[in-house]
Amino acid sequence: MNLLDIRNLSLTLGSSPLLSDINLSIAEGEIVALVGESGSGKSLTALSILGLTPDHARISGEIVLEGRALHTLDDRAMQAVRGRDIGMVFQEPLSALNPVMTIGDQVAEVVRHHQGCSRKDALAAARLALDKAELPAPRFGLDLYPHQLSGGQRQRVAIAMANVLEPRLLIADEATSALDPVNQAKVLDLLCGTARHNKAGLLLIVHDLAVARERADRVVLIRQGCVMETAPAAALANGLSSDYGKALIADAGHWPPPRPTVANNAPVVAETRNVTRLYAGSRKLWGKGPPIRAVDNVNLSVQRGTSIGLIGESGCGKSTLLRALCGLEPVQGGQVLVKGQDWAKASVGEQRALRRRIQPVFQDPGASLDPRWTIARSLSEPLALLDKRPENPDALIAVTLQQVGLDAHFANRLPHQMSGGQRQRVALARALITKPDLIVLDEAVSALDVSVRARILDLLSGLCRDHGIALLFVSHDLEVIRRLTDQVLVMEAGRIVEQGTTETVLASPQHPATQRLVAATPRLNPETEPKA
Amino acid sequence: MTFAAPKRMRAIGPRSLKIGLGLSVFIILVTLLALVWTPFDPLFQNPDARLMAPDSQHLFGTDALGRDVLSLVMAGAANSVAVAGSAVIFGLAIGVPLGLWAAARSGWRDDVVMRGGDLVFAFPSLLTAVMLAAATGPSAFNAALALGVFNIPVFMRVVRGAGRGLWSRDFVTAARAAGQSTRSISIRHILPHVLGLVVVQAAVQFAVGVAAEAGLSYLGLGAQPPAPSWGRMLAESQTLIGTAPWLAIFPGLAIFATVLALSLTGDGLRDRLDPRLKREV
Amino acid sequence: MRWVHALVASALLVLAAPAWAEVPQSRLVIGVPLEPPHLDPTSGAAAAIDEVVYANVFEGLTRLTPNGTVAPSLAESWSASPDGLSWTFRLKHGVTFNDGTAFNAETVRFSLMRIVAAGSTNAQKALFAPVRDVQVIDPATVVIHLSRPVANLPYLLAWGDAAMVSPQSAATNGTRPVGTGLYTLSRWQRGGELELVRREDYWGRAPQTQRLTFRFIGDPAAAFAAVRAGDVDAFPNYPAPETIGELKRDPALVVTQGLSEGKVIMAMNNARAPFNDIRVRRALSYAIDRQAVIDGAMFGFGQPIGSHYSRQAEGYVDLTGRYPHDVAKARRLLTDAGYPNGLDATLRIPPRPYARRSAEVLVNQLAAANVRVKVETLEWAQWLDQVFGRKQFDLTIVEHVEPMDYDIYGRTDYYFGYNNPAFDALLAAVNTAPDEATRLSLLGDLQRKIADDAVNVFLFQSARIGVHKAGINGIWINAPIAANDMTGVTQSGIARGTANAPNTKTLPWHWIGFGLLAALLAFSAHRLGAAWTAKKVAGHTATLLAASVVIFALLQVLPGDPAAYMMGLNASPEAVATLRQQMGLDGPIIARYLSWVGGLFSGDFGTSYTYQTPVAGLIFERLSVSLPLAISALIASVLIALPVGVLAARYRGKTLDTGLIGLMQAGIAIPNFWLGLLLILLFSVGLGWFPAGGYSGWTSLLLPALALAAPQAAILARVLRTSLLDTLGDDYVRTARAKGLSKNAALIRHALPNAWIPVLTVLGLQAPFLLAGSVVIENVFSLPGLGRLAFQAVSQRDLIVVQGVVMVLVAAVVLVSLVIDIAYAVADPRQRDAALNGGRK
Repeated sequence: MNLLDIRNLSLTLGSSPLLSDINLSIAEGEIVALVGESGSGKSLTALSILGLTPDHARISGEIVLEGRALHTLDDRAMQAVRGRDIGMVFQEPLSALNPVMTIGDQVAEVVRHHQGCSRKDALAAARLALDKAELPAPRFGLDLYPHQLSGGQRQRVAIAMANVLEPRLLIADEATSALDPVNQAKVLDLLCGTARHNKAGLLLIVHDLAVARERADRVVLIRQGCVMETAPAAALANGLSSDYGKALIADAGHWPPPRPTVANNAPVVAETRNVTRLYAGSRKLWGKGPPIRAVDNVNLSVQRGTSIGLIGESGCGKSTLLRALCGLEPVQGGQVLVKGQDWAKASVGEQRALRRRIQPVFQDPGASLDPRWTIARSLSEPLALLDKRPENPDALIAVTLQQVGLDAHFANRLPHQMSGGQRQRVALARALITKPDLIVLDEAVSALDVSVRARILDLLSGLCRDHGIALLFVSHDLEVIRRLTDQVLVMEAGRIVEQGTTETVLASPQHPATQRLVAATPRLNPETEPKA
Repeated sequence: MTFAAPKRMRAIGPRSLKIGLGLSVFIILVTLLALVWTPFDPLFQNPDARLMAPDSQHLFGTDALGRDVLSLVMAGAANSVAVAGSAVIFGLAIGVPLGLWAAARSGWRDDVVMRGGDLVFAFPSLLTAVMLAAATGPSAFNAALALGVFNIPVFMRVVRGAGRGLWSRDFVTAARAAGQSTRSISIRHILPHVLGLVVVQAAVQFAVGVAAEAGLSYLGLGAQPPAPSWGRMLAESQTLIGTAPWLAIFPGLAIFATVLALSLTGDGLRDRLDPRLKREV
Repeated sequence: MRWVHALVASALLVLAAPAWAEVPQSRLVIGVPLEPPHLDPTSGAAAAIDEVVYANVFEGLTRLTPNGTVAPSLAESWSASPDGLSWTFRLKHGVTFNDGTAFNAETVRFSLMRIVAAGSTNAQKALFAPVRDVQVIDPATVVIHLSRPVANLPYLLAWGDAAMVSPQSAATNGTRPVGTGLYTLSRWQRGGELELVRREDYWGRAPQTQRLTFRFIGDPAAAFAAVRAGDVDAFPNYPAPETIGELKRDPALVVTQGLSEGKVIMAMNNARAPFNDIRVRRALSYAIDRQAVIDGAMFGFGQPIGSHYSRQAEGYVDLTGRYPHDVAKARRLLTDAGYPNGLDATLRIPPRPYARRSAEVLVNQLAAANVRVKVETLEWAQWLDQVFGRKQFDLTIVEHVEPMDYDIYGRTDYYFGYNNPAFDALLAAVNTAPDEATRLSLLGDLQRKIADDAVNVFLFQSARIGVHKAGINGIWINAPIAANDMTGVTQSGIARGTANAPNTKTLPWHWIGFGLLAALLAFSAHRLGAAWTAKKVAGHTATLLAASVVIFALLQVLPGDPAAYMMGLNASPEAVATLRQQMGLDGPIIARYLSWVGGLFSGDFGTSYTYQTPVAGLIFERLSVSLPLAISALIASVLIALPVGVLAARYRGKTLDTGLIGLMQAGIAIPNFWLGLLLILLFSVGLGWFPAGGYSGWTSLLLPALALAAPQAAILARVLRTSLLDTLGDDYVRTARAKGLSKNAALIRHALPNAWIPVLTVLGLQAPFLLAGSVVIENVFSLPGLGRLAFQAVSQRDLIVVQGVVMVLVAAVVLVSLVIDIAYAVADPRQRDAALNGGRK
C-alpha cells in the first residue's frame, strides 16, 4: 500500500484552473521528485496535501495518507495531521522561521502542540531533533534566534521542526534552491537521509533536473497544473518518454558549441591589480573593530573575446568584485583598470567613456529594469554614454533588440508585459547598446527556466565569438561555467584561491574550496560526462 | 515557491476609494461652488433671524448673528482646503527634495537630514503651531505655515525610506552603470516610484491638516473673523450647544466628512498602489 | 520586551498615583473667568487680581460698596482741608496683618509712598502722582498732602492698587499675600483653582464661609458646563451670556444682571488721517447701531453709552441720543470730509469674545455707510505692543474696565491720540471743584465734551451677569470695581458634597525620574551593550541640545513685551520699564541662553514672569494632571485597539472586518475636541455622571481621556490590523500552520509578536502627542494641564514658562523615543544583536 495517494486532484482559483487531475503516489521510504518550471503548480500541490490552499480555492479529487482521506477532514482535524503526520520544509530559509522566537521554542512548539507535554520535555525533544539535524549542542543552543544562523543552518532547523515528531510524510518545497551548491548538497543529504532512516515518504519539489536525478527514486513532471509523465529518476539521464520530457531533457543538455580559442596576445579589456575592498568593521565603544575584507588583494585580467568564470561559495566576495570592476564601488587598495585607465583617477567625462566599455547584467530580470519605463526608454538610457547621441536612436534600439532575438515592437512594452526570459534579453540588449568590450554577468541565468537558459547562453556565446565581446560570468552553476568559459577563478573569503583554464580546474581541482564546489554539484548525466 | 499567497489582502477594498473619492469630489465641488454662490451671503447678518433652527429657508439654521449656517459652512470649506492644502504643498516642496537627497547620500549627510527631521518631530506639533502662530500673528496663512513645517519631515521620511530601498535595486545600479548622475537617477527613477507613496501621504497629511486647522481655529489662531472657519464656528457654538445644537453639528460634520473623505482616499490609493509596489519588489 | 512594558507601565503608574484627601468644610466655590497672574494688587493692573483678593485678602483705607459709594474700611473717617490739598484719615484700632504684623499709621505711610516712589511698578502710579507726602500724626492718624487737589481721593484709595501692605511682606505679596483681610491664601493650583481660608485671628467679624475656592474657568463653554453640573456655587462674572436663557429655566440657579465698570468702545486713532477729522469720527458714530451691537454681540446683555462714562457712576449724563443711528447722515459727513466713495480702514482687535463678536456686527454696519473695514485679530500681547503701545491702528475695539477713568482723555501720549486743551482745562477744573454740585456738573460737561468731539465710538457698558445657586446671599450684582467681595456672603440650605482637594504633599519627582532613567539605561546597557546605549543617549542628548537652541531662538522673535502684558492698560511706561529690568529681559541673548540652559541642568527652569513662582514647580503641578491624562488615554487606546485590530485582521474581508474598519475610519476622522464636546453634553450636562470641566481628581480625567483615546485607538487599531495582515502573509506563519497550529494560534503566537513592532513605533509617536497635543482637549474640559499652561503662557508672553514647557515636552518625546528604541531592540532579537555588535547595518 502506498503511503500517500493523490487521485485526480484539481484546484481552481477564481476562474483559472491551477491544477487538473493530478495523480501522484509515494510509497514508504520512497523519495519522489516533483519537477516543473515556475508556475507549473508544484507548490500548490504540496499545499493541497497539507490543506493549506488559499481560502477561495475550489478543490476536487482525493488525497489519502495511510488510509486516511485527508480531503474529507475539516481544518480542525487537519491541524492534528499537520506537523505530526506530515512535515513540511519551505523554500526561503530567511523567512520560514519566526524571527522573534528562539529556534528551540519553534521546534518545541510542534511537540507541545501535538503532545501537550511540558515545555521542558518539549525542549528536550527539540534538542534531540536539532542534534539529528546536525546542529549539535553546545554550539547550536536552543536559545539561538534564526538570524544568528546561516541559510543552510536555518534550513536544518526547519528540517528539525518538520521531523521532530518523525512524520510519515515529509515535503520539501524547493528547500535548497536558495543555497549554494555546497550547502545544497549538505541539506539534501540530511533531508534524504532522514526520510530513508525513518522509512518516511519524501516529496521533493525541485526545478533542477540534476538534483531530482541524483536524489529521487521517481520523478513526476508537471506542467501547467497537469502531470506530464511519471518515471524512474534514472530516466532523466536515459531518456523520458513524453514529448514534454524529451524537450526538457534536450534543453537541459543543450549547450552552445565550443568557441575557437583566443590568441594569448589579445588586448586586455579590463584588469584589477591587488584590489582590496574594505567594509567598515563593527563599531565599538571607542573606535572601530577591524575592517571586513570583502575583496582581498585580487588580480584579474580579461582579454578581448574571452569568457571568464568566477565561482565560489555564497558571500565570498564575487559580486563585490564585479561591482568594483564596473566602477560602482570604491576600492581601498590597488587599481581597477579599464583599457589601461584607472577608475579612481578618471575625470567625470573619462568615467563616462569607461562605462561605455563595461556593462553589467544582473541575476533577477524582474528587478533590473525600471518597471515604469518602456523598454525603449530603458534601452536609450546608456546612450548618454556615447560621445554623440545616435541620429536615429529608435533604429539602434530596434537593431539591438533584434540582436538579442526580440522583435522591434517590444520597444513599446513595459517590463511586466514580458516574460522573465524576454526581460533578461532586454537587460542584455541594454548592456549591448553601447557596444561594450566587456559584459559582466552576475548569476544572469540562474533564475531562468532551462529552456530559456539554453537560448540566452547561445546568444552570449555568439556575442563572444562573433563580436569579440569579453564575458565575465559569476555563477553557482558549474555546468554553465564549464560550457561557457575559457578560464575560471575560484574565490574564497575575498581571495582568489585557484585559477586556470576551466577544463583543468574543474577536472582536477586543487584547492579544497574548488573541490567542495565540484563535488557538491549535482549532475544530470554522470555517464556521459567525465566525473571530476 | 511558485504560488505566493497574496502578501496582503486588500486592506479595505475598492469601496473605500470610491466613497473617499466621491466624497472628496463632492467637497471640492462645494468648495468651488461656494466661491461663486452660496444660498445667502455668508457674512450677511439678519438681526431678525437669530438662532433659527433649520427650516426650509435656512437648511442648517442660523447663528447668533442671524447668518445662514449652510452658507458659512460652504464658505468655510475654502479656508480649510486652502490652509491644509498649502501646508501639504509646503511640506512637499521641501520634504520631497530633501528626502530624495538623503536617500541618495548615505553617511553623514543622510544622518544630518534625518536628525533634522527627528528634531522637528521632537516638537509637540500643535503646541509649536500655537507658538509659531502666536509669533507671526494669528492668520490662515500663518496657520498653514506652522502646519506645513511639520509636514516636511513626514514627506522626507516617506521619500527617503522608499528611495533608500530603490537605490539598492538592480535597475538603479544599471542606471549608474549607464552613467546617470545621482540627481538624474533621483529624478528619473526614484521620484516616479515614490510618487505613489507621496500622493497617499499627501492625502493623509491633508486630512491631518484639516483637523489641525480646525483645532488652531478653535483656539483662535486660524483664519480671522469675519472669514468663515469651521474650527471657529465650533468654538463659538460650544456655549450654544444646548439651545442651538445645529451650530455645533454642521461644522463638526463638515470637518468629519472632509477628514473622512481624504483619509478614505489615502487608504484606497495605498491599497491600489501597494500590490503593484509589492509585485515590483 | 514584556519586561520593559511592565517596568514602564508600573513606573508611570507610580508617577500618576493620585493621592487626594477628603476635606469636609463650609466652602464656597466661585467661578472666575480669568486667573490672576499673581496676587499683589499694588503691582500690575490685572483685574483678575482684584477679583480674588479685593476685600477678601487686602483692604484699603476706604472701600467701595456694591452700589458704588465709598465706605470706611481701615480708616474710620476722613476730612479734607478747604484748599483740598491735605486729607486727614483716622484709622481703626487693633488691626493686624495675617502674619501678625500690626497695622498703623506707619503702614499707611509706607503703602502710599511706595506707590509714588521711583521704580514703583504700581499700575496706577499716575493717578496717585499728586500725593506729595504722608504725615504720621499719631499711630491712628495720618495726613495725606497733595501737590494739587484731588477731589475723589477717598474713591481712589478704595482701589485695590492702594491696598495696605506691610513693609515686611510687600515684596512677596505676589505669591504669599499678606493682607489685613478676612482670608489668607491656603493653596494655589495654577491654571486650576485657588483657595482662601478664613483667618482665625481676624480682628473683626468672622464670616460664615470657612473656605473660598476660586476656580478659573475662562472658556464660556466650560463655564456653562460647570454651572450646569453644579461644580461651582457662584459665578459672579459669568462669561457666557448666550446661555443665560437656558440657565434661567433651572430653579436651582439664580441669574442676576448688573452693570460692570467695563466700557466697550471702538477707539479711533485721532492722530492719524482720516480719523483726525472730526467729521469722519462723527460719521462713524452715526453709522453704528448700539442696540444691534448689544443684541448681536452680547446677546442683549449690556447698556448703550454715549460717552466714556459708567452709567452707575456719580454725575452720569445720558448722551446715547447724541449720535442716533443715521446712515444717510454718516455718508453725508464722509462726503463733506472728502470721502465721497467712503473709506477703507483696518480694525485691529484683541482676542476677546466681546471684541470679536462686536467687530463682526460693526463691520456690517460700517459697510452700510461705505466704510470698508478689514478685521485683524491680534493676540493680547501683540495688541498691547502694537496698538496700545505703538499706536499702529486705525480702529480697535476694547473694553476699559477701570472705574472713573475719564482722565485718560487728558493724557498726552495715550493710544487713541486725543489732545484738546479745552478738555484738559475741564479736567483740571473737576479736580479743583470747590463743592460736590459743581464737581458733578463739571463731570457732565466733561462727558459732553468727549462725546461732542466723537473721540471714540462709545458702544456699550458691559453687563455683569452673575449666576449662583439659590440659597446664597450677599454676592455683588453690580461691580463698581472688578472684585468679588465675599466677606458678606451667607448660604443656606446648600448641600455640598464632600469636596476633594488635591493633596499638596509632593513626591520627590526628580529623584524618581532620575532613578527610573538610570534603571532604564542600566537595563539597556545590560541587554544591549554599553556602546549602543551610550551612542543612543548621545544622539538623543544632541537632539535635546539642538531643540533647546531652536526653542530659545523661536521665542526671541515672539513680538510683544511680557512686562507690558503684566501691567495692563493704564500702566505708566516707567513702571513697565522697571518691571522689564526686574525680569532680566534686557541682558544679551547669548548670556540669557546660557544661564537658562545652565539652570535646566540643575533643575532650575527660571521664575515665571506672570506667576512669579519657579517654572519647574508649575510644570510639575501641571504634569500631575497631564501625565495621568496621557497615560490613561494611552492605556485606553491600547485596550480598545488590541481587540479591534486583532479581530479585524482575523476576520479580514468579512462583515465584522468591514464594520470595524468603518468604525476605525470614523474614529480617525472625528475631531477629538468635537467628540469631547459631545461627551460633555451627554455625560456631564445630560446624565450628570462626571464633572464637566475643571480638575477635581481622577474622575474629571475620564471623559477627556476617552476623547483623546478614541481617535488614537482608531489609528492604532488600523496600524495593528495592517501589520497583522502583513505578517500573516509571512512564511513563518504558514510554517506554523504546517506544524498544525490553528489560525488563531498562528495569529496570536506568531503573527502578533511580529506585528507589534510597527505598532510600537506608532505608540511611541502617540505618547508625546497625548502629553502635548491635548491643548484643545484641555481647553474643552478646562483642565489645568501642560498644554493649557503653554497656551496661556504664549498669550501672556511668559516666555520662560513657554521655554520650560516646550523643553519638557521635547524631552518627553526624546525620552519616549529612547524607550521605544530600547524596547524595539529588546523585542526584536535581530536588532538586539545588531546593537550588541555595535550597530552595524
